[in-house]
Amino acid sequence: MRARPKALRAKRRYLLVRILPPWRAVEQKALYLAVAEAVTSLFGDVGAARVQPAVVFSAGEYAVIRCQRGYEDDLGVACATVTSVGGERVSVRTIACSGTIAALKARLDRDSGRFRPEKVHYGEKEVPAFRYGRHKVDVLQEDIKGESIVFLTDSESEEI
Amino acid sequence: MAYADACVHPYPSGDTSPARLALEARACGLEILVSTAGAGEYFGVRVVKGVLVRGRTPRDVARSVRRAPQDALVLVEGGDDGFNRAVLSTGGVDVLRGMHRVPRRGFDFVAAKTAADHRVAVEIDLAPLVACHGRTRQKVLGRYADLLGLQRKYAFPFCIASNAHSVLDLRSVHDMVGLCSLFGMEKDEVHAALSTVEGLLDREEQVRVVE
Repeated sequence: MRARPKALRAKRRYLLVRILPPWRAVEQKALYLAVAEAVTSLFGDVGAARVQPAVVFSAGEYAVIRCQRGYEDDLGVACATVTSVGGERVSVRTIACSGTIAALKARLDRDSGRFRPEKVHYGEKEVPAFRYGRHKVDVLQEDIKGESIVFLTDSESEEI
Repeated sequence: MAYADACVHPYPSGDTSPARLALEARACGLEILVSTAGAGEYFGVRVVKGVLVRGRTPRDVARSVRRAPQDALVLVEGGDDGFNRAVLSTGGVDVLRGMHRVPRRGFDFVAAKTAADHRVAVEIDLAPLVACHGRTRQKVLGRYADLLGLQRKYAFPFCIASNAHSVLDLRSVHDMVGLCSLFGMEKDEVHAALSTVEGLLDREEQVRVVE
């Protein structure tokens, strides 16, 4: 099928989102399914057909989500209602909106996707922790209920 | 105008320390947090002590309100219509919360007038809008739309809370505007609601009659 001329193509908007915690590996397809589910749950099938959400790019903690022009606010609200992706508890924060993917990619941090766990002492155990930003430390701990995260700052991690 | 999240639950209720919540709140555009555990100032964000009061009768609530610290914000869990009217006219109550859980006619025009007269804020809890789906979320949206209609007529203050137990539950000011638009709240109304807590904290002490 021949591509339509530019004047006849539907206009689109792109949202740059950040996935928290940033060290959590989130697959592009799982993110798409979560966002599509959120849009459908919030606006129904008719609304989802109008918004047409799609994840066009995903790298580390950032992703770019596409929608039809005029529905970027709806997509942002739907992203705010995403609480888990692929069974992992995450939060999706909207950072910016643009008409081109290139403009959003220019805003990406260069050091995204290079998180390595380090060992810290939490209580009496040595547990893995992720350090990022200037002050943030996420401590992973295993208990009878499974894995849980404790969100701390660097000064508190020194006290534990 | 300092924007505030009217209720967060740091460690040990949640999984996040108050300092970390404050750090994230700053990134979300908030300057005040009302916390059910701990108070202080972290990374330029003021964390204020909030006292959650759950009482079966208005007398229980009045007793708990008297015991609350002077500098704390008193947040009372709502109940049926008679309970809410009595609580709203009780001195010392700052916020009436849990409006999505009360019976359908639990907050009517009489309660709205009383809240406006006593300057008691009514909390909009964003947690059910984010976490619930289907019929439950539809009910919450309907209840909030009903409250908004009363608020526009009687002008009692609204405040907005994420009820976050984790940094992952916090939402930015932009997201709060979007979530509140789901039940018809305008952007200016959301900003006014976000700055209500600052007004409650700076409220002048009521004159006490000493016999």
